[in-house]
Amino acid sequence: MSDEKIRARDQALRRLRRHTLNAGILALGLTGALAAFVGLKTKTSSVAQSTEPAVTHTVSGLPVVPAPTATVSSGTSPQPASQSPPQTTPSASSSAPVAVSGGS
Amino acid sequence: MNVVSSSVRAFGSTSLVAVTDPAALRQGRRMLVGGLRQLDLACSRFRRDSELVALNDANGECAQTSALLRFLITVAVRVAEQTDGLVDPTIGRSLRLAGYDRSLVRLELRDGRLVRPAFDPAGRWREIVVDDASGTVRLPRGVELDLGATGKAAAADRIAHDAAAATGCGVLVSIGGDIAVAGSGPAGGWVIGIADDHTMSPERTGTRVSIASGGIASSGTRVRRWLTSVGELHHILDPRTGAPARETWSVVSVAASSCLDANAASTAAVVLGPDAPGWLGARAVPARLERPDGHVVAVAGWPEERAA
Repeated sequence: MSDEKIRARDQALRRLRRHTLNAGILALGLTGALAAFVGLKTKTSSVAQSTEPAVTHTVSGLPVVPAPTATVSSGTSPQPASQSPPQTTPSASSSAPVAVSGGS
Repeated sequence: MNVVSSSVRAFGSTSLVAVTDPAALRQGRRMLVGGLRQLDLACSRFRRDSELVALNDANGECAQTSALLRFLITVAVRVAEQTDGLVDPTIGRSLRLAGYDRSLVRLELRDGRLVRPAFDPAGRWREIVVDDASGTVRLPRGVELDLGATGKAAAADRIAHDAAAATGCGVLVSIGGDIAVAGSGPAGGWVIGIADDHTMSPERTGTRVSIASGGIASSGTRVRRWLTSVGELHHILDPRTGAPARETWSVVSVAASSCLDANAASTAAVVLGPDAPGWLGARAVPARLERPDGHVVAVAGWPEERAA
């Protein structure tokens, strides 16, 4: 085989190796970017779920679906609730509170 | 009586159950969690699998709904009637256009400077059709519901009464600071702290009242806020304008024969602004109204506060 042919073959092999390497680097980069994107999405999702859960406990004996009776008047001309005398008048207290009513 | 309590996080707020019999706490908590789960599935605006999202997307067509959602919508419409539309369930579209279009935590993650709010009045609650016979609800085309105001209060009433009946003891249920009590409470009543924000530690509250029955609800403008290109907005919109109510009051607390009635009055009071004391007084609804500068107005038998 002449030197010229050997050089040409070596050049072709180097080109092939270079292209293979470039393709590998490109594939690695794409995989990394995809993994980073998926990771970001997963993190965002988990933050939302952990901060504002829709109550994740599995429960048994769920309360019966309520019927519309307890607190609103029924019929076609309901009495405004605020016109009926309130049954609850709060008293001042200095004891330790059980709960807090406030903006939410 | 030894009152014990347990709390859970839900809907971007804190919920709590307290019982007068420690042995009943586990059952009370189970009923609270179950009730919250049902409430979220029925009427969350922010989860794609909720019934309310499907109903809001129905585009004027009838939608099959659960009895729970029909109940909550029926209650909300009655509250709208009772408050002359000051508390309006058809405020959903207005809230979305104003920028409250995702859960609270996602609002906080968003760059609000890019949000351009629009203010669109509500007021079409009379056009809602609830048909229990067919199990359907039909909203007018273009109307979107938000049951945030009345849903939690109605659920608090219901869970408290169910839990009291099931356990035979006194029960207090708080859902995001909307509080209902049922059964035989502790001696001296249930002591409740009043604050701008319901997540404040009870021990830190300066104003404390006790109730033996019914409920207490508070509506405030200092929490549940979001940033927009025109500044920070809060979540209590005036249905007549679609814009946030004037911040005449930072928080209004009301005691009534139910948590639902208390919530209706406290929300209406925030919307009414300077007219609220007269409106509450004419209806003999005990209320505490606090201005942003800390000045407090007590109405219709709410205990006066002594200056510190």
